[in-house]
Amino acid sequence: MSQSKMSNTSSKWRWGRRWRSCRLRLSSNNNLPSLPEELLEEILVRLPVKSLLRFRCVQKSWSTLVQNPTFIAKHLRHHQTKTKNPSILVEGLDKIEDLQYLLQSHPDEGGGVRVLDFKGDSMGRLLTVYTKMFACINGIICIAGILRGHYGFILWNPAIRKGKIIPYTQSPNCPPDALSGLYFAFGFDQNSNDYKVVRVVEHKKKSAENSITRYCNAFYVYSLRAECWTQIFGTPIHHNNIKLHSCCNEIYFNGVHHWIGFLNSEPGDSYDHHIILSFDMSHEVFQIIRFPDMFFPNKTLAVFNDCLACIVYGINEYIDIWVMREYGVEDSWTKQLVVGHLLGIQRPLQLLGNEEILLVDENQTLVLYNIGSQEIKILQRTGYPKIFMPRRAIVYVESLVSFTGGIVFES
Amino acid sequence: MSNTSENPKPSSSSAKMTLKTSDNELFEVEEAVAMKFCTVKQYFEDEKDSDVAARGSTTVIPLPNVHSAVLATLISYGKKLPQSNAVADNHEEEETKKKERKKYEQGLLKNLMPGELLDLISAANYLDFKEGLEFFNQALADHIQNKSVEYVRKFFGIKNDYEPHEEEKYREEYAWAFEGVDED
Repeated sequence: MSQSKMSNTSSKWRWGRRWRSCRLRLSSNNNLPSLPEELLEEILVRLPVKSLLRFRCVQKSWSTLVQNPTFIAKHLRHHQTKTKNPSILVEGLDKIEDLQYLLQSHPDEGGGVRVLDFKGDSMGRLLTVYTKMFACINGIICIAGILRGHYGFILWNPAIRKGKIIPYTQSPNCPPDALSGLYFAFGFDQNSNDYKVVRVVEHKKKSAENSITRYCNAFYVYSLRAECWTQIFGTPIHHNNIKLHSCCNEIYFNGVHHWIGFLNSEPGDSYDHHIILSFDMSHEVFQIIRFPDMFFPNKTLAVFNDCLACIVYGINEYIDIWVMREYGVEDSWTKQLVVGHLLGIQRPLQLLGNEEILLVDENQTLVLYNIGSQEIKILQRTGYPKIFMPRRAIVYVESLVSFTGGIVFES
Repeated sequence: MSNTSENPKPSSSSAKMTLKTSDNELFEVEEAVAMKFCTVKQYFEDEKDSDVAARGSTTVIPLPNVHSAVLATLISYGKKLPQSNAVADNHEEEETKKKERKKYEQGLLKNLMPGELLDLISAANYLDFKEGLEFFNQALADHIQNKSVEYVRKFFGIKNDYEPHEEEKYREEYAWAFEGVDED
């Protein structure tokens, strides 16, 4: 009787004559040779991407099922809602200006690390400098960079190891020396089932009279379906003097991207109001949301209890978590909780669910802190590049989403 | 493994129902557990009008698609679930019950033959037993997750309909997905 090797699970599964005869004996009157598709789907939806890609080989109907957009959406939803200990995608610097990406699984799920090495594979040959923006929607990572001398974005699914390049040309409208900032966003329009990339080109204008610096922002949106860029005009944003100040503190929430910035509303206004500039991916509209003044000095946007939240820190060893109870209503900012007393922490990176907070300590080590139990878990350093300074982190849930057309690459 | 109904105790606190399997075995089950099988619940509710409920467990509900061995396991699992009519426990009691259930679940899976999972899933689907379906679906997914394509074909009784060159091409393209798989 053949015996399989012991798998990692605690049960010993035996495959061979014994169970087959057992099965015939105990078999119910269900005479179907295989499970009906709806039942099969319920099982397959629970499998990780690697297994599903392999099982496409089982039979043609399985391959069709796994590639079906409805199944892909169902699979993603299942893993987004059922995952208790999500993996974390971490962006960090390994040397000055050299970005590295790691996929860190949760300590309770093994805590293993996978380095997403762009340089060593086909994408590395394309992407010579990756500059900014790191967002992850539905298992797709979006990175802005310079490819073959051109500006572009990469949309990459590390679970299926395939991606797509979206080139763009910098706007000729503003003289290069006035270019003072470039900001990006990546999102998903649920209404049109479309992925979008947003590019904000900022340039400075100094006003001679009162030497207040005015900022002009041009907004461009790329639609993956339409495969083209559109410039957005005439929004209220254009009438305001806004300077985005996003550096690893923005967040994508509920189909809306949120940047942090300053608003200088009146000339002679010495006061820079801190604001959130949000962009709704579906309706393609902007909104300004103000912060209370007490959010000082440092802020990182987050999600807490399905609400937009803000992690405020920098004064002492405590971290305040504020929640905007009613989205868009500035008065509804409420101090939800205070996390602390944390020693040796440099700064918070992200909230994981409502229970854990990911932090960077003074030694540039990632630390996971459980708010309720106050337990600290140091994320393993094995597998990390020798020098790695974490800049930001996003919860990562793998998916089967893929793109066709255009410049597609494999990694 | 029959569990024929004896004279029901008149002082029993919860009503019992009798379920009859495809191999003509009778199972006496507490109503609270049987109600988790929505198909049974529907049948029972349809029969309510005819005054049957008042007479207790003299109704026998036929389950022609479920074998006795399978039903026994599903009933056993159903008993371990938190009962909807139970008094709410405090946090500690809840945690203890959770741990007990986890232990029971691990024990259950240990003693199951993989082939039985398919039967359990079919039966749970027929009975519309949501918690059972959830649990056994996950158990089966966990079981096949790291298995080879050949194993999965044999397990589900599936015939390979790919041409050899088609399959070879696919395996080359996704070679990394075929690494680290359990040996058959």
